[in-house]
Amino acid sequence: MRENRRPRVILAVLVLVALSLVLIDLRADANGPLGRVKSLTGAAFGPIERATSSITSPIRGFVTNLTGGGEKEAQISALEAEVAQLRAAGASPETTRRLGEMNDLLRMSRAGQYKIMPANVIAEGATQGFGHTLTLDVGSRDGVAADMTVLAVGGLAGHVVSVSRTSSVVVLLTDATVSIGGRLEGAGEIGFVTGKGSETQMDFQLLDPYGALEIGDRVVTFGSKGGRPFVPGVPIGQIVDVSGTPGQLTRMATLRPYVNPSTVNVVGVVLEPPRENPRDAVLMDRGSGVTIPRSLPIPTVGQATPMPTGSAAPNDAPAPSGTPSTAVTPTPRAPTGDGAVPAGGAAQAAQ
Amino acid sequence: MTPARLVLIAVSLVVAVAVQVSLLSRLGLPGATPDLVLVVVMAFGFVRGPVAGSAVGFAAGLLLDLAPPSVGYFGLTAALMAIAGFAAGVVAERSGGVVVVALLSVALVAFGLTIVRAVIATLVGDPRVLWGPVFAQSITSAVYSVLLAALIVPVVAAIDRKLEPRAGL
Repeated sequence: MRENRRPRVILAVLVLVALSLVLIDLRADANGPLGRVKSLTGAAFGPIERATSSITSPIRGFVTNLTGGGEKEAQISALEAEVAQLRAAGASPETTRRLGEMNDLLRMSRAGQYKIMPANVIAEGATQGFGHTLTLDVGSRDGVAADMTVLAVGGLAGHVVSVSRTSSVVVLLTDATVSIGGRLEGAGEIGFVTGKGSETQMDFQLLDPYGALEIGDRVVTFGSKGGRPFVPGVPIGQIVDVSGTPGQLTRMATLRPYVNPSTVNVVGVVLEPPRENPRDAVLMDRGSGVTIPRSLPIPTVGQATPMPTGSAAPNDAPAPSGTPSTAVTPTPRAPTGDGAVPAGGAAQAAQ
Repeated sequence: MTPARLVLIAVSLVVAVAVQVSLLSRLGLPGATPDLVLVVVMAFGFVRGPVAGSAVGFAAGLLLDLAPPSVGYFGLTAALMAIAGFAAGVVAERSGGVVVVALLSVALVAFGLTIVRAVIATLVGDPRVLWGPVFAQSITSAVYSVLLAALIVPVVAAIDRKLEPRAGL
């Protein structure tokens, strides 16, 4: 009888130890002993995950082509010519694809004046786990810090939550805990974009109940204070469905993010926010993807918006940080009732 | 426990964790991410019994909780994996090593693990738990786990026999 009980006692002890770790972790902050252990193992796992990721990248490419082949047909045919060209020069298809992604990313960062650190995705959280997360192969030694914005080709990917020396963890914009201050292209209407765990759908809530909101409208980041966790002007996505009528307390819409986080391989971590709010410059630059012709006049800096936002003071000299969030004052059109959420709050709430 | 066996366990756990987060989770397979670590833990449980199973499960769970990009509750996976390893050990002892029973138990544990994780997340009020896909995830997780187990349990058993020819089962 006693023989039979020993395994159970051991199991009970192990489970109790594990559960007390959960309790300790819930109470501890990032600088506690547990935080340090996590940071050390993160640094140790960085190279391991990087190696695994690069060794297995042919397998990954093969399987993703099998499972998600349909929607990629167009891209494939477009890239085929380029591939052939580069193959002649001795590059593998994998290299070619990465080069293309990197090129697009650099074009985006130039349009927005973001200073970025390019990075590879080396791991991803499990679908059935908690949260939508990625691991990047850059860490504190590359200048990456928590709360930095992460871009991918097409737009916003998420923001950094924790860093070790050799790796960093990104929470994707589709995670259900993420809330981003967003601004409609051109008009300057602001609202909140919140993740809900879906890779193709996010909620968009317009602050102004009478604001114009149409299917096809494009949304960029409004920008957080100091550019953390979100720098201004990064394309988030496009409105695909509008619910509610003008005049309701808040207008809700469904937004489809430009970046599908599960297919991202190359990202850029924004090390420094732009000195001036790029407004819609990054959107305009996006030649590929979902470009929707707008009836509104193309906004050029200074004339585009009825709101006294950052662009109203383009000669305000280099205000290195916070130009977008500090320059915004509540608009005359903002309703007083709902206006209890000040415009600056959009930036605050971005985390 | 010989040093060689400890090294074998440590290496296979690290490899399993790395392959799971860097390869399997990024394949974009329908439903859940295949839980390779769970299968490896249960394989050790089948071969070495409930005590070793729960210890290996505990270690594997800690590794999964520590390896980036884990953002779950540190320690929770360790508790769940320890139970899974224990269950595998008990199943092996009671069934006397019938393959079908072992595979069924892997499916059951993988199915239950997904549900239990979602229940716990709901109980602590985590906004990130979505009940919509949970059922599909538990089914696919069970299927993937059985497929992986059919490959991995024999390998673990063979290596284990080689290290200690006269041991157990």
